[in-house]
Amino acid sequence: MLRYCTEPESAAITVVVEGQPVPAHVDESVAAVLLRVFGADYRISSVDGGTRAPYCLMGVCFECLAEVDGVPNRQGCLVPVREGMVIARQLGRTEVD
Amino acid sequence: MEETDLLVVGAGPAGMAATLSARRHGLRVLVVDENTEPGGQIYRSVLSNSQRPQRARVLGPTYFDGRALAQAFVESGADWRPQSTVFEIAYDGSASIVAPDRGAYVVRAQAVLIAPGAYERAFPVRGWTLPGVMTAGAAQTLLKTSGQVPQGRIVLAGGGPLLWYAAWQLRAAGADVAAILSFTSAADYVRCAAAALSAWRSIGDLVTGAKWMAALQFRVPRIVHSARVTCIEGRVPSLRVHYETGGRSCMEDAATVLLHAGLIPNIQASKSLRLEHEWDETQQYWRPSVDAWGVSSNPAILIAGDGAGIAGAKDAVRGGTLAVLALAARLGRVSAEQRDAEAAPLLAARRREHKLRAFLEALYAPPSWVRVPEDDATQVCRCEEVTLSQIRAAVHLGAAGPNQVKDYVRAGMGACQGRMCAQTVAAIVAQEHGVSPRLVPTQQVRPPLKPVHLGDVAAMDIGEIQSGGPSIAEALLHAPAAEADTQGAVKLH
Repeated sequence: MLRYCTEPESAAITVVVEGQPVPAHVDESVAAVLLRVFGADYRISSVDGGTRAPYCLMGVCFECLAEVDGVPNRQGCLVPVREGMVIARQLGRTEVD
Repeated sequence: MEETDLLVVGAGPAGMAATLSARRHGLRVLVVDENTEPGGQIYRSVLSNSQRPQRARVLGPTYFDGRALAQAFVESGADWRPQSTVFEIAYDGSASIVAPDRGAYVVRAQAVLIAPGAYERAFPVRGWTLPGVMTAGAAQTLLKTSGQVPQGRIVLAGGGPLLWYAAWQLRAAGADVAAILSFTSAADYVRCAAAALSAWRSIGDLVTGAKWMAALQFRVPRIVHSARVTCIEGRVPSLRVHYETGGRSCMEDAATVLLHAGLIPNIQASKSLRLEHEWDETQQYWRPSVDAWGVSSNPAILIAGDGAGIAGAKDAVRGGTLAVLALAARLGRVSAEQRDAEAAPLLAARRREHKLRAFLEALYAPPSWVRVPEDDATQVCRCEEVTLSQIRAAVHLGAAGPNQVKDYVRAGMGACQGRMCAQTVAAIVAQEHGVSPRLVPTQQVRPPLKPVHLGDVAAMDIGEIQSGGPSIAEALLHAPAAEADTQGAVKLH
């Protein structure tokens, strides 16, 4: 869903997205990486099960929620990626064991 | 507990200017901002992007207006804390902050300057919750932060200076801007001609805007005026934007749809403090009531920048500077004469700017179909997925305002805490009762302003607040009427 409009102008790193290594750049947010990798399958709503993706990308809409380093419900647009960061999507309702 | 003279919330144009002003007057200042770099939304990543020649060319000169300010800000000696979120501001000037590296903590300040900025007005049409539909500002954020643009055909829809600015930047970045569906009509331009003439002293800004629009006329295949978006459907990358113009129904294919219908002040913090607010009839939004020096109805709380009413980045700089100038005078750091002498040119510049704003506000007044959607199935509350018809039903059952609508059908109860839907819900209530939204009670905002882990709150050192400040019960006793909905109900029926 996204592409670079110029050559990337920041350092290349690797993050771990749902167990897979994914190349990224330090100026990307978690939301940008997930949009780039999954596009329209960014998130599944916990209310009606529909697909959702970031809307505002500036910390207001909470559509970009993702799990970062084991912590769920982080606003993905406000978290810059770093080397080795572990990221996962939130696909539907949380199950309580 | 940490103490400081001034706590600045937000490192955008107003917050950065306030910080510089505070440092000039020898005040201790602590600045908290959610992002990693200073600049706010408009000057997002401006310092690092000035080191990136390719991206700099795409973003254009208007964006780099913020570079000198951001540079001065980081060199000012202020205690700037990025990636930090204020989740509560108390009426006595204390604030609770959370940051990933140090958990939650409390700061007490002599004054708090809230510079929360603005965000894009909700644009509820059926399908606006689909992946691939974002705000125009979201596309700008991607461009500024990481040099990325949406792939495939982009359709922009709505109105306002930012719609054209975003289109211009995306085009400069080589993105496929296939269509601009503008809600502004030829009649709007005629209607606002007089306002444009009285803003002649802002000719530079008017010319910049005209240049963006002129450049796009030849580079965007389809520019439609008087376009009313009716719904968006499909799945990325095959979205379809349905719209009406001149009595005809039309459709535009898009991989990405960017919506924009102007900016509204971010009033979460000022509402949570129960400050006085006033209704802007032209632009249809609430803004906190402040005097010429940015002082709110609570003398310890100052508000500057777009969070006090949309006036743009340059005016935000003036607002932040003026607020701190007045604070320095109150604290005895400058005399009243010196304050007035320094303020005079800023106040004169504001009067000029406000003429420009009056023109832009009238030209891009949000149309009724943006304020209240026309399709019953439109999801008004994105988080809890509450439709227009469900909200109307709640109003007919007796809900007098957003607080009761929230109780009845959960609109505004989700993760965004009503940021996205509260204005629309209020507009629906107003429409159902046939009154101005000014008469509809607003949604009550309570801390935490952003989600915070209970463990972080439990670990906070708040001993001094409990012993020195009023108890929660006392605070509630003295707080202005929480039951605005009840009063509203009396007014409405």
